[in-house]
Amino acid sequence: MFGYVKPFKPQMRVYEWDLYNGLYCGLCKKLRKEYGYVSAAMLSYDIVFFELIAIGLSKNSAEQIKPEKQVCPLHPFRKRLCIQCRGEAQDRAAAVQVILSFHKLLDDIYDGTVSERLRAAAILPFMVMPFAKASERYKTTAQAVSGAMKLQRSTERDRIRSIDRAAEPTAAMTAAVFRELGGNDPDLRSSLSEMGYMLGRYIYLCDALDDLEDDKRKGKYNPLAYHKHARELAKNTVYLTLGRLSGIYSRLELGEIRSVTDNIVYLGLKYTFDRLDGHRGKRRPVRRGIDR
Amino acid sequence: MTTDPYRVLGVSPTADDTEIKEAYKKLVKKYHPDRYQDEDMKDLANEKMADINTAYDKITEDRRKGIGAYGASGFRSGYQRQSAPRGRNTQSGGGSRYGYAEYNSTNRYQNINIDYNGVRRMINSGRLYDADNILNSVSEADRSAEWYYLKGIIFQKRGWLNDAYKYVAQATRMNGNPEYLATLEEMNRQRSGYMTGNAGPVSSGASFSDIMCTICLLDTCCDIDCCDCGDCI
Repeated sequence: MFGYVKPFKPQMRVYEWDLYNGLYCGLCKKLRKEYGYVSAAMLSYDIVFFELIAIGLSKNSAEQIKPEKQVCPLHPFRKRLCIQCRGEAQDRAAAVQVILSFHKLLDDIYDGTVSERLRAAAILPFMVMPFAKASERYKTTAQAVSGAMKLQRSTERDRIRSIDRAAEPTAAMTAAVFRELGGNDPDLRSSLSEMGYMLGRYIYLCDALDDLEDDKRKGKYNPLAYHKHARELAKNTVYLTLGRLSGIYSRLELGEIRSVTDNIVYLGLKYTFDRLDGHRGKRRPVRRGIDR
Repeated sequence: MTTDPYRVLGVSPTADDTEIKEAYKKLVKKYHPDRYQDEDMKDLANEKMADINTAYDKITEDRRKGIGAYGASGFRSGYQRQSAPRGRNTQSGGGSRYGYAEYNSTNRYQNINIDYNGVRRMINSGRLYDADNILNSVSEADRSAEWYYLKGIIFQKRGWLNDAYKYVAQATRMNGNPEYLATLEEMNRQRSGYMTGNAGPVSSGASFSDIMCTICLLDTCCDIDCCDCGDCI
């Protein structure tokens, strides 16, 4: 949803990078085919991590993926590696992306700046049908996400100071999204849920820290603004969260795909956060892409 | 959702996590779509499975949040209920500054003989709500190190790590029990960046990858001559 879950490219093997990019490309294609161009344009890197975990958890994961060289309107001159999925992983990831994008737009309309509102209002009509389609397919996910957004609004309205409580809606949302990957295995469901929860906390804190200076200036709600040493606090909280996340993640059986998710979990998350931390005071937007 | 998730699974609201898990597994076996050949039956089984999963998720999620079973205990909101924030006398900052943790129970236990082992068993079997209720009934003056520790563990289980840290830290300040210290140490390690199973390089000093990536990050590369100084990186 926000683009904070990314790999750390310098430590990636070439095939891992190709795999990652290929999955991104495949997801984009899938979204375009099933949910239209607007949905595809809202694709974020976070969801690739979700797809990776979904692939890793499925049986004989290596047979799931189907790499092909293809051209697309965005890159018309060079064929690029594009990975489609045989199993359910990609369908699910695409649907989750659509559901999240839709709610992001609603959220922008609800409390965005003027330009954000205009933009969201312009895009929203194109997302209604895709959203209906995706939530029809993944009802529980759609329910969980809309529940979380409601909680988010009340959290913002009440201007809650506790970081734990402020992060709860986002965390519960990602928890619900990840939990579905557990199928009918209760233990797997609960550990995926906890991992999702921690990932959601991470995403929320990154977003809060990233927006801190802006929010302070505009007087918008940000739980970090109530704390004196906000950056220090955010750092400790994020690291504690990542520590807990890694404990659960390391026990998941992910097969061969693990080397890619390892990179994201152990290097990418921390690196992305540290870069937010790096430039005190000076507001510099995070580059949404991956460093090349 | 109007249906009672406990009824869907056919368990009592006071059942512990293992019982619920068993009931869930039994139902999964019974209704697994793969068992049915007929398409209609399969669809039906799929629907039933969705209901079962929703109910199971609802129960686990409610238990994590500390919401008790409907009707079982008469009230639902547990320690999510907000009471007016109360100042605490200890300077630890370890208390509940945000009010939600201190659920003002009117019928406090007067004695301080709380069965902490019972509370531990409850926590382990996933009954966070009940455990938290018992802890909250202890008056502030009677709160021992173990009280703070168990409270911290409940927070940890439900994912509120900052509060968990505060409570566990408070417990260790009151009593140097090895168990509390070990938990705190683990948290402190994580707070300073430790991650379980991290296979990646723990860089001490500059490594090739660090240098390479700083260069590409800054988008400015210094001359080869100056690169001994270290400042440019």
